[in-house]
Amino acid sequence: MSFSIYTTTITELHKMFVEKQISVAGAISLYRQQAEKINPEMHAYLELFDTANMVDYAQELIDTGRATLLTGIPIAVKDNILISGHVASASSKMLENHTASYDATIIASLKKQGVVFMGRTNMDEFAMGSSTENSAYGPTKNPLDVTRVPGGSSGGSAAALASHTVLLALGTDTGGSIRQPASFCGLVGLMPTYGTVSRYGAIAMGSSLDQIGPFAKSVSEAKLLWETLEFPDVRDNSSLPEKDRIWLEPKNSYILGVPKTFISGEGISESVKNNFTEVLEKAKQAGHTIVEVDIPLIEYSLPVYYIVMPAEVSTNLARFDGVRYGLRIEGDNPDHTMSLSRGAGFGPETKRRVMLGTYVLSHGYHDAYYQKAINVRNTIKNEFKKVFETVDYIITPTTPSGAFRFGEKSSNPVEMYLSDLFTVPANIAGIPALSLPSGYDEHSMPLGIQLMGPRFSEKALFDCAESLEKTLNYERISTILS
Amino acid sequence: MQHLAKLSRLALSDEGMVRMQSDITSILGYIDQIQKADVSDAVMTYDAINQVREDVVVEKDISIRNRILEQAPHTQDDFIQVQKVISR
Repeated sequence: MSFSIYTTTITELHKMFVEKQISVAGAISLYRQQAEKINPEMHAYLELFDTANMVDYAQELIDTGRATLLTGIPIAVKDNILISGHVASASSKMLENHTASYDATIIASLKKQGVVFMGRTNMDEFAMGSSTENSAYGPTKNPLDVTRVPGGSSGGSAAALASHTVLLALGTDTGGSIRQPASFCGLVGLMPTYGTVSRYGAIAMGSSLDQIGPFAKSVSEAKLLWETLEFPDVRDNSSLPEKDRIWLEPKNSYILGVPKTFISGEGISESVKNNFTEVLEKAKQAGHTIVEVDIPLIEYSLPVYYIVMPAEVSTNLARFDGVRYGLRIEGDNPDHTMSLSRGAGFGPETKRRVMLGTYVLSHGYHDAYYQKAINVRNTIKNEFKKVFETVDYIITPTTPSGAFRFGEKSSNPVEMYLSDLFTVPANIAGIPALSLPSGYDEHSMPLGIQLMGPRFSEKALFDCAESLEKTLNYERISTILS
Repeated sequence: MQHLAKLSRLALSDEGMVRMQSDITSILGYIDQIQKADVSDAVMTYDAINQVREDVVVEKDISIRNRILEQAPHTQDDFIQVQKVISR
């Protein structure tokens, strides 16, 4: 077995480390070379880190028999997750010079295991977008076709992994920001059950929706990272205690529900529809049962999302006031300073969502928008619960189309929002959802399918996804720069 | 729109304001469809409960405080300095 950044898996690399076939420094330098080669064109990373100390520590863990499977494994980190001493900008001008003063809980946990942070990855500003075109530092390109977007908002993390510069990547998912770029780049991505992965040290966007989750090249590797991300954290008030974490057990076969009306609407590409039909056929052959399900209000998930999320955005982003940290433009009085700083520090999409959130929360509109949205959200949650009494997972395409071209949707916000049509419902309901590669569209761009499950169903979800992964036999086409 | 921008503490250019108005109008047009959703039998459910910890200092690492202070645009001693809020 010889080492290759393209094909060597985490388990294989771990074995090579332990058997002294390759050193951590040796492996990491090859990933680093690849990152330096692809990044000028791809712009997956905003910054590549000096990994010397992390490499030494990982090697020491291996040499003293204290290594875990993740020790010495390179990982890319989205720019909205804090790593002490490094800039964390959330791809915003507002935080261009913001240095993290502490480690996010999950970062501290990965550090202990000797995981090597390759760099911080580009994203849509404050995780708001579906293409990385909203980054204040320019977009990331899709490694499979540089004229197309990698998806977003965790597009940099997806591109970093798809171009083989790391073996794992971290993203955040508020409405599809892990699953949609995973689908666009031919990767596996998971949005975990709300409240199971600590968000302490993640730059908040929509606090009732945000989750941190893994990107990987295979289901088993996504599971490997997820297992180390899932634990209670006293520093995160939304983190669930150990006693609540009762995981559903895997089964021999699964009942998969198809919300037919929801996925037959307008704006879904023919290749997505055809691919999905093939997937269902193969799932049946693999022994799973396919049934139709009805979630009457699921179609309102996206409008609900565009009320609840901006409301939370306007609240969360109120902290950027030019006083404590971040950009400051001096004005005549505190209000003036705040308005100038925020006007200069935020990009167009961020401003739109802050304004929209302020509107739906304002006196006179609160009941018509925000309260109504909360009621619809709860009804959707209950509808999901009911459906999960009869099916194990709900299966849909991850996205309505494959990766689109730069500029194709950026001039029309609503058009862009619609690319999250299938991913948003899971965030609305707080349930886990996983995307895995399922084939290619007419432009040879990857497509993905999504499995949504009841809360705490991740273990079985990985098992079900692995069986589909095996059946679908997705062939990873090499990226253009590899 | 100007009132909203003021509430949002966002300084917008004239051009930015025009674009914002058209964008917000189109987004509101889209989200307005929730008015059609029938939620007459809506039941509030709470899956996530705020886990409130004791109000005690858990952060023992004092260097974090210094690093936070270093991020502030204006400081004086161990304080973050703000502009005068009340004028005579």
